[in-house]
Amino acid sequence: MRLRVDVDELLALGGRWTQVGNAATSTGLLRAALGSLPAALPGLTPPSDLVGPAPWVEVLQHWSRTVEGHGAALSRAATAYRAADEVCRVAATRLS
Amino acid sequence: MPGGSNEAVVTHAPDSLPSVGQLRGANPAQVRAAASAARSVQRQVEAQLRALARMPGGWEGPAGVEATARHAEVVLVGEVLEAALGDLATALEGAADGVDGARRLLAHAELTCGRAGGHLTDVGGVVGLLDPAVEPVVRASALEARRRYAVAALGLRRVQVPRWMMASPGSLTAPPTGSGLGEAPMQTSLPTIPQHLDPQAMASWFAELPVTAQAVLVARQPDTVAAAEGLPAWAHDAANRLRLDRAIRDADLALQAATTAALSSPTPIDDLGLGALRDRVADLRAIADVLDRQDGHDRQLLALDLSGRRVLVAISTGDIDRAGRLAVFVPGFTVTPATHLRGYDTRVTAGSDLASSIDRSWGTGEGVVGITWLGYAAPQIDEVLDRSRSVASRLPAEEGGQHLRAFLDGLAASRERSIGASTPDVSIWAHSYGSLVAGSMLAAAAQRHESTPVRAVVALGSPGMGVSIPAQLGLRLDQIFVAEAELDPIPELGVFSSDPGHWAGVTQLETEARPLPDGSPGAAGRGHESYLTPGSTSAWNLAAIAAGRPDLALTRWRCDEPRVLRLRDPACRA
Repeated sequence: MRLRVDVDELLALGGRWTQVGNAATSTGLLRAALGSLPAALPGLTPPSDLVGPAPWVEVLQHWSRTVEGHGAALSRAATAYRAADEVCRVAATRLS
Repeated sequence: MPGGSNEAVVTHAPDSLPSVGQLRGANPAQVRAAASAARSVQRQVEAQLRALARMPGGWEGPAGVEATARHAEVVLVGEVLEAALGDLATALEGAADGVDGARRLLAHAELTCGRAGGHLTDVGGVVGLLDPAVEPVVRASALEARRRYAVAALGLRRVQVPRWMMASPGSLTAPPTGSGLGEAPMQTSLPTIPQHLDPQAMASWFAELPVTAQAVLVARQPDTVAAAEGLPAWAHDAANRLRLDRAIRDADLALQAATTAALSSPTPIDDLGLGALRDRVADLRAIADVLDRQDGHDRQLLALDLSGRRVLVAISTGDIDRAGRLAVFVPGFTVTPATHLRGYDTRVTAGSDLASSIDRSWGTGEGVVGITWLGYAAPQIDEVLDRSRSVASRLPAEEGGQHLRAFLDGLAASRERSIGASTPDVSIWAHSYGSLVAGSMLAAAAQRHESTPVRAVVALGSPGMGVSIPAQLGLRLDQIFVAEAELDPIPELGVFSSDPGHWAGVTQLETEARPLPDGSPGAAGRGHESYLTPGSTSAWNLAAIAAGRPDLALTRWRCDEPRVLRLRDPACRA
């Protein structure tokens, strides 16, 4: 039985996801900008979600890890498919 | 600031406002920089989503299915994150604009003060003025500037970090385990929506689910999601839109098939039910038209009941989950989606926009969202002789009242349990027979000593609310309002218990031409359909009540006032 999915395409997809997950977003700039808000708005009580930059940065980092993790899983799947395909090919050769 | 003195519009106690010195120290440029940073990150996530949009074709079997599902989940989460970042950027931009405006007003006050030889201190004091007449102006302007500064940051309160991405059990914390050969497929058992839960319990149950499970439930069980009271508005909206698309397809096909059959049938066309099919298609098309409106309002399809002769529907003018206040319009006799939804949505949208404007200028700034609620089977003309369905009967109203109660309870529960928001203040704009629906709901709740989210009810052209005295509605007298326009014969009927127009102690609203508090002229309303007409005194009154500022509503001249002689009003003739 041959796979209908293109393993090279799947491998490329895993690589793309990993690359996107690894790509740095401008969290540093956002962290600094949100951190300056209390000083920029004296006398106003900022809402809890804006008290510090950490919640947004944490969420963005988590997003990146999630994307990267899915990319790694896709790459693992593609690698496993390729290995299995090779096993099948060798077995078929021996049988013939 | 439209109309009124500056002192009159301060909603915070002056002592609780930020000081002049704090406003002077504010830095809107820094807030704008934060907005720019948030927008930049939003664009990056948007670009990431574009890059991740596609999955390879031909990947079948358990691993392929699971990987595809995971792909969809990750993209869904990314879309929510991108939207949240957009909300953050927009709120920060709004805050920067607000601070800029407050500082401009303060600068104007300082200039006025300086020209008169004085100085405005950091604590708001005015010293050294050569012209004492300037002092009240300077003080009022400074106070208004401080109020605008306080209001500028209100929009930031609505921004929420999507923390569930990390906190929800079973959410996207681990990569898929079923994507590779030799590994067990990832289990994605879909939860089942429990039966017989009250709205509060249902809201709690749904809120505990990972967001991905919520999204999958909506996509795979839209009928069940739509029927479950207590779920967040976004879930009902998404599920109902799926159901609407399906219903339109089905109705179009059914009508097409029936029309084809009718052409070759000896049976008269009317006997083949074509009329009912046409009504169904017309109802659904009207709903789709309203949802497709491109007027800057993100409408939500909150309810869609396809089980009856006519489609029942509720559409909001904005995001219910985030609304500070709600205005629910309950219509009356002969109303159907096909005939009335487009027009009522237009008027409710204009009315809720005006209410939001009043709320921004004179209220808390949390915003008002309108709901056009055609959520009960309104009596129709051809049902007049049917005792259970006649407009002369209370039965349709009592049934409608139960629907309205369930709808409002569901909204309140979902906001409290799902998103942590407080119960919204609900105002009901109840028109004609709809006022009997609202009255039935309120009276039933009062009889059972139950509370509802309703904080105000306005009876518009009411033939009676089904109660003898207003106290039977379970609201305070200052929460009950009545409007009766000239040339509207319906309120004169008083067929359902007593005539609200003669209730002592409740506010009788003006419907004649009057100058409005924002400086515009309010137009007179004439006839039974005039109450929500944009630009009318009546529409202003409804908006002011929905904005939580009934004190800005204009009351009707009393009969004993010499300027007006209302001969048509029996109370005045007496």
